[in-house]
Amino acid sequence: MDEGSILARIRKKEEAALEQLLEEYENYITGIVSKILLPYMCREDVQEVVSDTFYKLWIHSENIDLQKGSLKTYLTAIARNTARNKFRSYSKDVPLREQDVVEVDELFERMVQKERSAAIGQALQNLQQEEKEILIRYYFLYQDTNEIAKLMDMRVNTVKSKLRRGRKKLEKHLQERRSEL
Amino acid sequence: MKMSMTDIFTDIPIESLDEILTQKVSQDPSSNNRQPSHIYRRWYTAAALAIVCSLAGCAGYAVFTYPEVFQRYFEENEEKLSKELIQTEPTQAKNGDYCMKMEGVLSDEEVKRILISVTAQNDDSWLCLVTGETTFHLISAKTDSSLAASVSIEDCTEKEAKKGSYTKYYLCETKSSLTDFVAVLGHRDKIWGENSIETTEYYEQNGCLILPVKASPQSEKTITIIPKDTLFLQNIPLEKIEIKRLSITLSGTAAPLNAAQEKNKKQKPEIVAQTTEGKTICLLYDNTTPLTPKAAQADEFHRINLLESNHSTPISASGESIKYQASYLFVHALDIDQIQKIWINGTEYPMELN
Repeated sequence: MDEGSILARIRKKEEAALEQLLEEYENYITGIVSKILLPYMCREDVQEVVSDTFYKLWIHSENIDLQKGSLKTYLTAIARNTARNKFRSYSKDVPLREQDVVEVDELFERMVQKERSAAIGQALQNLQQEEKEILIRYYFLYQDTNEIAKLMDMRVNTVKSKLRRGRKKLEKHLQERRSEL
Repeated sequence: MKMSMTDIFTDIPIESLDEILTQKVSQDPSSNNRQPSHIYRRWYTAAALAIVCSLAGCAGYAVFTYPEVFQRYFEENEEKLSKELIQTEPTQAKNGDYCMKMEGVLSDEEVKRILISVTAQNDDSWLCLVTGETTFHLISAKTDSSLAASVSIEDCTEKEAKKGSYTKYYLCETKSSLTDFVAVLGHRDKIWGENSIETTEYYEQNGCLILPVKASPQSEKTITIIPKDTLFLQNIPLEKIEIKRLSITLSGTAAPLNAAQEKNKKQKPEIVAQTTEGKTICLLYDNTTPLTPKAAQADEFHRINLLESNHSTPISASGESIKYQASYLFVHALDIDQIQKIWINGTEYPMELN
């Protein structure tokens, strides 16, 4: 699929381009959303978030930069954050993953989204590649440690220790950034 | 100030995410620009086999099982535990349109996870399956023919095999002490119709495919603790804690809650277990109160995650007191043979393993 041409057609609001994107990625995005929502919500909610994801990409297509990431990556990011917002606004229980906290400066919370994104990107660059990948899979894609271990061909305990270490390093780098500021 | 990791990752730069999704292994089996990992190689092989076998008929298909669907509930070194809890002997039912097969069951005394596959035998029946005209249903059974009127089965997660395989999987999960279930496949009007009578004869007379499923572990094991002066669900005296291999159940009795209490009833006791190797594992905690030192120093905090909970479900009412039960299902199975000591809110209690 030529992503540049699809994106250009989406920007021109050609519905056939959106349909093509749906055909290519609907199952994949449903998988991402189901992982976050299905333990707590029903399939209709999953379908709603999947539809919202494609709709958001449709209306915000001008903000997409294919030099930074593929359409699949943008769809993944939109799906994950839409699903999480849905989950948080609805579900009464909080999974343990949501309770993993690190110490950050109040300034970090007050940063605009673009600055926060840059700060996280910088902090992630200081991590080993594997630690970075494990953190993203666990905290962004909501994959569990067993699944990550299989995907990355590692032992589960190794994934867990790298997850712990990566989290501590990320916290340290975010705090160091505070002292730089 | 503290911030959750999942909140922090909400603002991850798109480039960092792209790096993981496009240059490394990914969940997307349709990706064709990178080498699939070993697990996907197995998946491709299995799916290809499924296509061949579905062409050859249901019996040939029997060698295929959904890849490792239950293994995620176990650590690498828990073969004994997985053998105790997973039933893999397949049973199947077949007619001219569909082959329905019980692929596997993961169960303890309270939790049942049942995986059923449905393979369409021709184009028309596949079309009916994907459009929902043909519907799958799993019902708990009282006896061989009389089905339980109130079904406690949660919604089944539906998974479609790789395109072209004509197979769908239904992973059903329920908290039920019943061991007999019936999987039913038929026209949606017969399955969900107002006039449906929940007996296997009714479904059989209406052209449905029936598959009895037995879901019981090889052995029954429960750790029981009777804690003192412990509250749960905000203000209900906790009378009993039962730890099984796939779940924890808390039970207590109290007067009915008032409206304000109803609104704020999420308190859970903190439960820490120590294994025979001396390792401490925090099994349950309440995120609204500080951890006790015992939980804070636990060796493994995240080993067991909670999958879901039923908050304050009244199970019977008599006069002014109501029995309450809250259950939490483990994502990973717990080898309770290895549990030696239990602390509730920092206090050690005697435990009984049955």
